[in-house]
Amino acid sequence: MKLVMINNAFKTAVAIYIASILTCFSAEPEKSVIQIINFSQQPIWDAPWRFDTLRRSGGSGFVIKGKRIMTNAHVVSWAKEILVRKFQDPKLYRARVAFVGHDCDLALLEVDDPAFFEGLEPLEIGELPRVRSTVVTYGYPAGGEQISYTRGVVSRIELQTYVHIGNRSLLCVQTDAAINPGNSGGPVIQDGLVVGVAFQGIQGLENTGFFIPPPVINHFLKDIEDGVYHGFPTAGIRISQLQNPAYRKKLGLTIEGIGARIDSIMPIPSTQKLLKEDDVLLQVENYIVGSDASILYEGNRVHVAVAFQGVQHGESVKVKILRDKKEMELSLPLYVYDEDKRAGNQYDVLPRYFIYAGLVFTPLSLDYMRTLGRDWSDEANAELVYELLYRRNEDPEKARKEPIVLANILPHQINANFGVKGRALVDSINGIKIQCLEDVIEAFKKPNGEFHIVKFLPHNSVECLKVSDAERVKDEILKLHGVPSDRRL
Amino acid sequence: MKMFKKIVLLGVLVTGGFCIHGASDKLGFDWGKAIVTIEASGVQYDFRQPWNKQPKQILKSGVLIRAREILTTAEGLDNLLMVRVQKGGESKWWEADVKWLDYHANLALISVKDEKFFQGLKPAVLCDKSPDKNNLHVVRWKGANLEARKVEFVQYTVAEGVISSLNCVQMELETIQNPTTTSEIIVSAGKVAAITTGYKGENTRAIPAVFIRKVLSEQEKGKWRGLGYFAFWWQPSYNPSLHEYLKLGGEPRGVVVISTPEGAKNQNGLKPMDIILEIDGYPIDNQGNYKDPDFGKLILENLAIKNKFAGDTVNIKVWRDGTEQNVKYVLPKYDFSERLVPQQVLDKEPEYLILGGLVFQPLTEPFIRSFGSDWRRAAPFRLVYLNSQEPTRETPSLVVLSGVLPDPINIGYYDYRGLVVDSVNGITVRTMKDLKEAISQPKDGCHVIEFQKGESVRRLVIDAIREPEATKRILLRYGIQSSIRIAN
Repeated sequence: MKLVMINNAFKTAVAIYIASILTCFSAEPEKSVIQIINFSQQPIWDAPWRFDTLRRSGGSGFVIKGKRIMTNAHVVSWAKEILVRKFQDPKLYRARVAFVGHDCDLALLEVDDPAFFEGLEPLEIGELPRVRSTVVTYGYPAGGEQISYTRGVVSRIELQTYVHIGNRSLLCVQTDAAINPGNSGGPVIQDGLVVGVAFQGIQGLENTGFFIPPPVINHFLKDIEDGVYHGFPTAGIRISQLQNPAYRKKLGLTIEGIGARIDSIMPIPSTQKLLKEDDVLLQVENYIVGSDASILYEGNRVHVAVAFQGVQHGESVKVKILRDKKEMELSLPLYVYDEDKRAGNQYDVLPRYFIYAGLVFTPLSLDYMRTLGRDWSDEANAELVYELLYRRNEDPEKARKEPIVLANILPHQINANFGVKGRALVDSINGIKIQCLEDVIEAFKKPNGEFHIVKFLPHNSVECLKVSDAERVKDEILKLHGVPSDRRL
Repeated sequence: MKMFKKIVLLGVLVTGGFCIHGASDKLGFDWGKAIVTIEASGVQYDFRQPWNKQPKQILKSGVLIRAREILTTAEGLDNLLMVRVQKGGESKWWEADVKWLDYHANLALISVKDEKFFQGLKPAVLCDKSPDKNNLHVVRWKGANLEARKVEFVQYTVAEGVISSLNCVQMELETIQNPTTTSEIIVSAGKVAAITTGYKGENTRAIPAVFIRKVLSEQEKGKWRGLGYFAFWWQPSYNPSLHEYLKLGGEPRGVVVISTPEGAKNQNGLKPMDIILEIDGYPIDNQGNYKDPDFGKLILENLAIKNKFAGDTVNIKVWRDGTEQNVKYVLPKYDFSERLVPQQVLDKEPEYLILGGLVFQPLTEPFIRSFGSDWRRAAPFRLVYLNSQEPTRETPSLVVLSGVLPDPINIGYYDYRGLVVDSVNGITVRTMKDLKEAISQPKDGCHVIEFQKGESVRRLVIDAIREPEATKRILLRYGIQSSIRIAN
């Protein structure tokens, strides 16, 4: 099964829109539902100074208090220009991103023209809807130009991967209301209140759409109150179910069905200080933790991770654990963890790179790996995949802060005889172990006599550049290939 | 039946083949007297359930090359139960046995006990030099007819074998359609030119007779030492700056040693950044090729097996620190256990140990391949990654929890599979013997199994008091005869 995002990439120009005359203010939610058109351009991750073709995509949004439009982060990612349109209004307005949370796939837009918000009433955020209750989606999905409504029930409420970032899971609601490309960012309404933001579907499954529920929306809104979006903090613990009687007995559990095991702890100092492997998690905040690592959350059985998602960056959660057969209560501070950001999808920040003598160096990332084609995770690239996704947790002593790849080579006489053609992990340059992009720049300042020596992993293949030649042609190569700058740091 | 034969005959005439009867002049030898059909029956194992075996049977061709010895490839001769030989394409099957085989050379010699079998047969001769590329035929039994069909030579190449990843010289031919057996005989001017392998890629690959001759003359001496290999990594040296840096003047030549393995195999004195200029007197070009007198340009890897065997010395001339030096490189023996994850498990029953329904096995490539034809993607990534890693002194091999046979004792662990074991009851586990030893020492009535860091779960605990009884119950329920099979 593949989770997909559901913004709508328009293939044809938007048809001429004949608006009906706007009636005066009404409490109908559709008046506050906005159509969003995003003209975006993504960088090319293996030629990071260039941009891919301009892409036009559409999504939905809705007005919330404070004269802002809420939508999905993926609707407005990599935006060059954003246009918004009101219900039955022919006029296009320019909008810009005020806040974006790529981990929770939410964004807030602002519109400079104050006329835009005239006659629009902000929608209020409601509560987490109950399963089996009815909801209606509003939005501008593919298949037509006008606003579209679909009705369905809340099918289930669970922790789900948010595919926009790819490596985070948050609370998520599944519905059988049709959610199609273009619905993204549109409100899901119940009793006149927003109970969700439509955002993703699962390829191959029918009648399943997903929306972002109020606890996640409210977390985002509270986060930005200080003017900065931090994101959802991470506890950094891997929690394993604890259902085997022998294991339960060994850890001193007496009550059946309660307590999950902390299997491992990520390299996060604040967590490592307070928690240990094989601590048993009995309670998080007010939620009793089941032996299957779940809690009862508003009547839904969900993964215990949800209990950690209520607090903001720097705040603490109360946890009750069993350690050495003794109960302990502690307050665990949670922080946003972004050391693994390159293992997820990255947005809006252009990739870092450095070019020397036509050799293009850039940090290893999931976005870069995808440039290797659909089979990027094949055995051929196992070393890169391991470095990107596994090394940090498995072999932290050998993990580099920011593994660097030779992404590409800009052809020139000086590098024409290189055996290494790119896609290679850089181990060292002039004897200096490369931990981050800045090390590359520094290392090229310290040649090995008359030569630069670059070594690659896994087998230490080596390439060599004559310093005098490299210095002579490095600017010429940039010019030849139309590269505006040798670096972006 | 007659009708069928006629049709076949017509067919081969049209496509350029011919029936042998009366045509032996053209082929220079009466091949019907040397080429035989071999039927090999054995068992194969299911590495998901290593206690399970099922029968397998294949047909191969062989060629009589000495008084009582039939040459064929080693493919399909592993875990053998019975081998039979037939002459003349359709007659009685004769009981036979394997006299010698080597999976890395992919060659085997088979003999028939009953002297009568050899009556009317005549040994063929192996080419002693590269055959005429324009005069190559595949000769094979099709029913009772011996068919000869011209085959087109493509090139000689050095490539991994079908069974072993050891690099050996191979004769590449345009794909031979509809093979009747594996290991078909390629002939040229009355001599055996090569034997085809079961290679599944583009073109057909065959083992050249020149190579076979040398292997067999070593084998004949009585003490087969096995094939050796170059246990170091090298890279081509296209880049003239690299030569300049290493102070090697003149035309670009030689290849650069980039890494050498740790441990005993690196007693050979090669160092990273050595430029290999010559091996046994053959100059090495900057792509790593040398000019072979028999086969033309080949990659240097072949010089580890060209008339050399494990333990032999190869003279390597290197450029080091601005001077030429001679290194005497003793060829280590190539074995499947050279890798952290052995590539094959042949002629031995797969090892396993069941502890309270937890199934442990050595981590082997056949186990990883048990994830299906798309195993490179379907198997857990870490296992595929480990398959490309080299062993170290601390980690010569690995043990894996291959799966769980569900039972109340292992509740909570049913979905665990493909997890690499780090320790059991506090004892580091790298081999099945380590595991056996470790499970004899449970702590406080529990077995604690720790997996390698990075696995989806780090640890599990199983009741050691109830385990023996549970294991007994599990064996009965899942129809398994024994909870353990570990080689001595």
